[in-house]
Order: sequence, then C-alpha cells, then structure tokens
Amino acid sequence: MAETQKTPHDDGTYFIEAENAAEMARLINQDRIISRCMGGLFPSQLDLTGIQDVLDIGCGPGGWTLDVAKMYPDKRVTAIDVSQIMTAFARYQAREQKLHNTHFIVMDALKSLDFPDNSFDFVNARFISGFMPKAMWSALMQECLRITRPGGLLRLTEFESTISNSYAVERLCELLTRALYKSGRSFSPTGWQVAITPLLERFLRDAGYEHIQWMAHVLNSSAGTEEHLSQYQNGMAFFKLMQPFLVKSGESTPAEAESLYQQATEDMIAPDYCAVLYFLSAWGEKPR
Amino acid sequence: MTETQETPQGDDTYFIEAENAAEMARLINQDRILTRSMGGLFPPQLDLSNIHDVLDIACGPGGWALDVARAYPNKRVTAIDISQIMTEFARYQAREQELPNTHFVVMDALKPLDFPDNSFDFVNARFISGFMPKQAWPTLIQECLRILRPGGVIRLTEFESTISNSYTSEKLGEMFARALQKADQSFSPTGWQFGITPTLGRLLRDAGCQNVQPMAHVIEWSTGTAEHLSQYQNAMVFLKLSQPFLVKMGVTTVKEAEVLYQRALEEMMEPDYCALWYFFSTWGEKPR
Repeated sequence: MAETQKTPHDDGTYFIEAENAAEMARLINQDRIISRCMGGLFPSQLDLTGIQDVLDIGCGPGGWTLDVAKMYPDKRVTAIDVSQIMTAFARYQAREQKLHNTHFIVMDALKSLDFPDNSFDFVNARFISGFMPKAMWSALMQECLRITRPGGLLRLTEFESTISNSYAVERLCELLTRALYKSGRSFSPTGWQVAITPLLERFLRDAGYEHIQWMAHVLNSSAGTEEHLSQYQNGMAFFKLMQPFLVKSGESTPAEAESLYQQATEDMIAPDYCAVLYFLSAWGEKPR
Repeated sequence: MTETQETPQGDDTYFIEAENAAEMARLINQDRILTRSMGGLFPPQLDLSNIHDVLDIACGPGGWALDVARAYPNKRVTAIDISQIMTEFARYQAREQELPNTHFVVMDALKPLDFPDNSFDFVNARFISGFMPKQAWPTLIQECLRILRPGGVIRLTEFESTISNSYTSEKLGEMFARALQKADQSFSPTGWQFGITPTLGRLLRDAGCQNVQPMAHVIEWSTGTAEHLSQYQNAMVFLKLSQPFLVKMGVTTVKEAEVLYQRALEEMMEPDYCALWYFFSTWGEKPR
C-alpha cells in the first residue's frame, strides 16, 4: 500500500492519457456535476450508519472522495487511481481542506487490489469503463467482493453515449462508440451502442452480490439548462482529448476528427443545442 | 368533444396500425410497467392539491388515465386517443371499475385539440413519438399550453432504444433509428439514435414553459430480472407489428425482417441476455 509505487503508465488502457492536466481539470468539474445528477454521494435509500470504511476506485482528482470525507468526517475514505498527477492533486486538496480521513494511493485497478480481505463497507467505482477491457470486469468484481466486508456494498456507475441534435456531436459519439468497440471496451455485439450499462447488474450478480438495485440518471446539457456551460467546457476538453484514440482506432482521420471537433464546438454553444447523457448506477450487497 | 366522431384512420401516422388488438394488449401491460418505473403517476416533487382537471394525450387503452382516476377520485380525468377500439376499451374499463371521473374521447392529437382555453391543470403525453412527425411537436405543445390553466403542468415522456448485448436486437434498434429518421419522426441528424429525448426540454422551453425539469427512468429486463418476461412479451408484439414500418422505410426487406425477428426472440431468451431501456420525462409549468 506504498504511495510511492511506480505509475503503471505504459500499459495504460484508458483511452485518454492518464497523466494529463487538461483531463484532470475536466474531471474535477465533471465529478461534482455527476454527483448532483445522482442526487447525492450515496444511494438515497441507503442506511449510512454501518458504513465506516469507503473505497473509491478510479478516483481521478478525488472529487467524490473529498466530498464524502467532507460530509462524513467519521468515515475513513481510501481512493485509488492509476494516475500519479491526479492522486497527488487529490492529496494536496485533502491537506488544504484538512480532510485527515482520506488516503489517496496510486494503484492499478486492473491488477490485484493491495488491500486485505474484508476491508471496506462501501466500494464505489464510477465511470471506470474508459480503462476497463471487457475481459477484466469479472476479475475486478471478484477483487471488490474479497475486500468488501460481509453486508458491505459495491456500487458501479457507468454511462452510455451522449445523444444530441448536433450532426458533429452525434458523429463524434458514433465514432467513439465504434472505436471503443474495436478496442474491446464495448459490450454491444455490433458496436452500435457502448452497452456497458445493461451489464452492471449482471456483473454484480455473477460475482455473488445480493439485493441488487439500480437507478437511472440523466445529465441534460442542452442550451438553456443549468449544466450547459459546464458541459460545453467538458465537451471541448473531452472531444479534443479523445482525438488520438479515434485516429489510432482507424475510425477517423486527423483531418476529419479536427473538422468534426471544430463544428461540434460551434454546435454545442448554439442556442438550439440539445443533448442528454444517460448513466446507470447498480449496487449490491456482499452476503453476510 | 363528441364521443361519436369518426376515427381519422386515413391519415394515421403511427408506425403501428392504431386499431389493432395485439397492440392494445401490449399497451395495457406496458402502461403499468412504465408507471411503476417512473415511480408513480405524477412527478414525485409535484404538489397535487391544485390539480383538478387532468388530460392524457394518446391514452391508448387508458392505463394511466384509469390509474389516476382510481387513485384520485376527486380529480376529473379526460383522455384522448385516435383509436376507436382503445378508447372504447378504456371506457368499458371505466364503467366496470366504477370510475365516473373519467372521460374518453376519440381525438387526433395532430389536429387542434377540441377543448376550450384554460381547461386543465395537468396534461400528460407519454410515448407519443411513434405518431409524431418532427415538425408537429411545437404545434401540439402550443395547443397543450393553450388548454392548460396558468400554473398548470405539461409532462412529456419519451424513450430511446433498448440497449442490449444481443446482436440482433442491436441490429433492429439501429434499423429503427434509421427508419424513424427517414419517416421524419426523429431528431437525430444522422439517424444513429432515436434522438427524441434530448429535445423534449427544449420544446417545452421554446413554447414558454417555466421550471422545466428532467428525470431519467430505466427498465432493466435482463434475463433473471423481474421485468424480463413482461418485456420479452412486449418486444414479441412490438417487433412484429413494426415490421411493415421498417420495410416501408426501406431499411430492411420482408424476408430479412422476419429472420431478424425470430433470431432476436431467441437471443432475448438466452441466459446471459442483458438489456436496459432508458426513457425520460420532462415537465414544465405554464406561466401564471
């Protein structure tokens, strides 16, 4: 559980480079908005009194973790991410905000998790499909089950593609969906959708979790909504950062990707722009 | 507002024949599941004490309208549909269940609505995109605002495609998205997705609605979940009845559609079938 272990840069599977400051800035804003769309930090029906030790997997710059630590000073929050700069940033934030109940560790969720059995009461993994090869889910679920205490929970939250009325945004989303399919991160047998969210309940069930529940969320980033500007900025960063991935996958050329990007940035700020992003949380309990 | 007016079958735009008993049976089951997935008959945040007169647009066999009438005997519920057999069925149900606070009328939502200004406190339109040409939306919403009282609420609920890990369902979904675009019933500029749900909020805001709010819903119907069988039966009828539409729009042939249909039904019964269906409500207020 050493904080100085080497960043496993080289075999990074995330489709955006992990050690990227622009990506970090994007995630900082995104974390807060996603938590708001989810109606809070934990599932609303949950009795939080039994939850002492919390783990966040793929924590990025630590948005969710820091919010949990701030709101629940009695809970101990551990958070892991493969990125050195993101965990360093999160650690810095925790110090600044005097959140002593946090612990940020550089750790690769694709390898065995360096925690003893039965360590946590709530394990959170939000938007990790970007770096999860299809074949790795089942191993991670087993690892989560091992480190969760009996009666503890694992919550998965993943998203489908943005749906919008902009030609350029829709094309970019379609190309990204196809590129994810080609790189083995899509569960759609045709590559039409990302199709990760229909699988979440199944992952939990197959790993042996019980009392599985799920909930749909939506992020509406249309012009005229509260989230429009933040999501415009998010889109500007995201569509730029994913360009190399689109090109590498062979789904697009640098020229096409750039031209769609330019058009998308104009469309996203247009007064008639409409877009929604559906995402799903599913959570289950480790048998007592 | 006469109940004996002729059914305007001739210019019917619904992609399934309106006077079809199988479609009616499908909708009866569907209504109940949709309402349950939406967490109730009205948006949970809504103060219902000021709602006296309710209108349901395209009520089908009357599931939602009858449930409202039963749960709220003090509210008057009017419901319209273009289909003679569905409104007759609903009227019969209302008599059987002794719900005198209902009124079912055959009326075409694509024409001016035959109600005076300021007649209703809540107007509900759920899953009407199947018969709505793209350009008809603003007109219908204007009509709804006209017949709503100031402070009254209009709610729209629409769906995107089922997302699954079945090859053939994904193929059919993709065809459906293209067919809807060709029929000018989709807001997707490329025909990649249905693209109706992102625009609902904008349609309400453009019509002058205030306090527009969104909410996502989902039906999970993977094998092994509670809704698997009900949604399998739903798909069995829906996919069959929509075959002529897909063929008419030129996205498939009669022969291919039938092969895909049979294969989709088999894949939906596979033990590892995973599927989710996202839908979306948005509601707003007529200014006081």
